[in-house]
Amino acid sequence: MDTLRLLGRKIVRARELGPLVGLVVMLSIFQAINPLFFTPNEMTGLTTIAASVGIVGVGVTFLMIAGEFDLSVGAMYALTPIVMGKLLTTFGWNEWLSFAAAMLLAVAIGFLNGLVTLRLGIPSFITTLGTLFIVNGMNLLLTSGQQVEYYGTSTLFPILGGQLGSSPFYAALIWMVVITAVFWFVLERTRYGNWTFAAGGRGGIARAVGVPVTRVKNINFCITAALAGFAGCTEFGYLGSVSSGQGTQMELYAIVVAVVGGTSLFGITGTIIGTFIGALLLGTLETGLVLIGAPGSLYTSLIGLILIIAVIINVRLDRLYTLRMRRAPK
Amino acid sequence: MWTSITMRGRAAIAGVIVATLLASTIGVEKQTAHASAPTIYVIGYETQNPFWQAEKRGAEQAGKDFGVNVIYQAPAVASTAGMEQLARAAIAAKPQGLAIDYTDRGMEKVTLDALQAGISVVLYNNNRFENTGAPGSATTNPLITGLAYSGQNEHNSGAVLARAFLTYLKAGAKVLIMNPFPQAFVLTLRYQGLQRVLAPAGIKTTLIPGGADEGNNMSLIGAYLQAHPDTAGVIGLGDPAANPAATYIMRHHLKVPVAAFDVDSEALHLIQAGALTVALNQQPWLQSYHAVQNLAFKIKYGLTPVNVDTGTLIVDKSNVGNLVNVIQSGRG
Repeated sequence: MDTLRLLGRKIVRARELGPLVGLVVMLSIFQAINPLFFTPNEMTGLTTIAASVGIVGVGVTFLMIAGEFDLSVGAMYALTPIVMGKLLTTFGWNEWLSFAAAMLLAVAIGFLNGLVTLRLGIPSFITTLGTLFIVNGMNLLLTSGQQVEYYGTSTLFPILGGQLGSSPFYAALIWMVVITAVFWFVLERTRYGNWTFAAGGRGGIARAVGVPVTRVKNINFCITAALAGFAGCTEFGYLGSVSSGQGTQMELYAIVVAVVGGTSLFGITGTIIGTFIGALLLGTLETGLVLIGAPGSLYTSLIGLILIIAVIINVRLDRLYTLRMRRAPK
Repeated sequence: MWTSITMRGRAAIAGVIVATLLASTIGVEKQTAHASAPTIYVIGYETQNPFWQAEKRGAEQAGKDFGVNVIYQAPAVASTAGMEQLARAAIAAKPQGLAIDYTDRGMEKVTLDALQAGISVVLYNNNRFENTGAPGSATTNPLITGLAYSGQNEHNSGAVLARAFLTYLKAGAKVLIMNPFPQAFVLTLRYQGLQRVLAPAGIKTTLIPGGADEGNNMSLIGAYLQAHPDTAGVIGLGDPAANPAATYIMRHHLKVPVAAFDVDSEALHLIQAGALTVALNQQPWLQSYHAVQNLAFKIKYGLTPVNVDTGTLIVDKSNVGNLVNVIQSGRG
């Protein structure tokens, strides 16, 4: 009985509970309004949207927990597959090498973001805002406004974004699940995860207890950029084309799924599973609105509303929990 | 009982109530047409552009005229990926018809999936079947190339506008071209069409990128014209580019001809004022209107959809009067 009570308390205290309840309610409502919600095509749309923003969101969550932001993820989402596509189609590189080179570029840009932010003391918001504009310019320069397309034979593209047999699901969903699992494990079960949490707090204290704060943040910048680039490549694998406009506003959606999932804007607190749920919530909202015939412009407004509500709930929960901890008998 | 629930539990319950209330306020869009009428989804390129607002109006008017329920959906930011996701969600709704803006081969799978789901499909505004660069990358699937299309040929429209504009330029003239949406491939096609005519005529062009903000574009164009006073003409590849150019030129009393793709009510006013010299009207309202008409006739009467060329009508001061009422009523 005590075990059950403890388990119950743990579940109720979990930051993921709020977004999970929201997701279940939203799914139920859409299904109630239109029973066609749980159909293969709808699931394809929902999971495809969720996978794209979810993979980027995991990286953004990791960085936000460490106390930093990366606004360039949307631009990286386009740049990485553009570079991959250009190397493949214009220069005739092997597809695997093209992919590896493009991913290395993403990591390098993430590293530069970290370098400028941490060594020069520029707020990450500003550094990555600058990177956003720089990379957007690079995207236009590389594509000249044209799509980069590849529809030839490939072993890599099906792995990145191909259909899973005859199911309505595509490879990006599997990647999202795997990446969520891996980063959840790293964050919650490893020393590096502890360091990430510590780095998001007071850096001085963390350094004093031996946490390599600068190194952790730098690595997290690289991870964030890499995951954004990888997400873009999964979409490239899915559609066979990429344009410079792809990923526009992805940085905002990634922050939304992280915050809705329970990650704090101020660092220290966050949950990868929550981001996963947040991504599913966003995918459900967009596809559900289309299904019930609601005006498309409602989607953007509702995201904003959900974001504000989620932040209010999370802030209140943090305060209440802190209050209870202070009042709890020693 | 409420006090026995933990704080987090109470907050979760409050969240559930709010989410439920929120979701219940969405509702289903009221069906102004008949309740049992066929449903047609029209997937557009974006929501915020006046051109696409005209497309939306055309589709919705056709819905009223032909007794079908039209649901227009478009991504907030123009992208093939955004349209593909919306089209896929639309397929899940099992409509009787689906109108697709086929911008590139990224729309191929979802178009084929719609056909496989038994949904009638037509294309409008774009039917990108020409080779996009890489050998063999063009869509050759006859299931798609055989679909009815209402719209214009972007590459050809560039050439048509360029021929009309050439009469205002001397050999060797320098022309500024602004692309407000560099990521929109169709505008690149227009540019290529322009170059096909302007380059052999000895016209030197400079291409600059713009954005969705008209004021910002005006500043960019103004800065360019100040730095290059020998500029002999300005062309806007899409809205808003030529309108802010014409406005700037009018305010500064410059004698620089301006050419535009796409005519809205602002462009009409500028043409009448003599600030906008020549424009190409592809009639966005008509594109989506005919797309819905095609689908309505097929669904209701079994008729085969037809191709409709919405025109490469050149509009200038001599014939702008004919268009004034049409465009100002939102049917341009």
